[in-house]
Amino acid sequence: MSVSHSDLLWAKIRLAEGRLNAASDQFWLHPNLARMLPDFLVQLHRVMQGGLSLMRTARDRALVLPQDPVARIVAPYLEQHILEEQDHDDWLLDDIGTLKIRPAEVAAATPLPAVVSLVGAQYFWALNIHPVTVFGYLIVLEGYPPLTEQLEAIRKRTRLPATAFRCLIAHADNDPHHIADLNRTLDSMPLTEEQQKYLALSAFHTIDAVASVFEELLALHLSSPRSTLRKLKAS
Amino acid sequence: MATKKAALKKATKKAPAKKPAVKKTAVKKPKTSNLDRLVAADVIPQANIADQDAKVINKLSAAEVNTLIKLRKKLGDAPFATKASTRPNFPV
Repeated sequence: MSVSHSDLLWAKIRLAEGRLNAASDQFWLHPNLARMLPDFLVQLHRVMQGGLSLMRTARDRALVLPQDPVARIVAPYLEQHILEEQDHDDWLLDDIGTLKIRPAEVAAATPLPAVVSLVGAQYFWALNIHPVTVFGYLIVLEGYPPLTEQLEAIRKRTRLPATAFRCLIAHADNDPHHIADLNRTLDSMPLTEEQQKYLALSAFHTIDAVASVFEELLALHLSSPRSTLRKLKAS
Repeated sequence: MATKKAALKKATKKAPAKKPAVKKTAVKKPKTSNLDRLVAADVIPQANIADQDAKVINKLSAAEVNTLIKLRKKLGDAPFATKASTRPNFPV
């Protein structure tokens, strides 16, 4: 029995997800999460903005490969997904604003090295290997969506305002639909073995880089528990 | 003069005859499967690997296996096959 492309990719992701789960748990279960969460949201804003530019780049690359049967599926999918995601960074900025962090402060915060690695590596693969590799990134990020009840528990534990969680809650509702679309789209592609390999490497890198973001946020907090955002601005 | 002669003698000294090259006989190591490598690196537990999973694992490329082992090393002694209790990661 042949395995679908998405099942194969998910089987590979399950071999690597321990790296993400361990770092994620360490961050979200931290006793001082309330102090670190604003910085997480600021970095998430960077990822959301960077992700949109990345998807535009990958779509444009796919559009210049009209004879490529995989690129012909990648381009319209990304076109649609860009529309689905396009205002999310603004919603998040509003949420961050309710924590009394101004948009100018968000813009001035230095992206963590792991954030640059997370998004930056995707440009290399999309431009130099194949734009389908961005699916490895999207499937990992959409495939581990927040759960509403977990967000509610985090809100209670941190005592941060509910308004700071609106964008995350919207993703808890929408991402399960997005991941189903991604899986279906991937399964419709005539992928080569080489492309399947790069999809997995892209997914593994995404897992590693997201885990590193959590570790870097924890390290920043350890070095300066009170003013992490100020430290991000100064670095 | 004496030093000039010595230098000349030294320069004309014959190089030692080359030893005949000994052919190395390649010892073929038994090829380690991806599954064996990943179990040895503690990426996956030895027990309970379904046939379907074993097939997937043994078809992984060397780059994929090496990356999985690299990720495992970053975890140190912690068990790799953890289930996340919390997961609001990076939604996009």
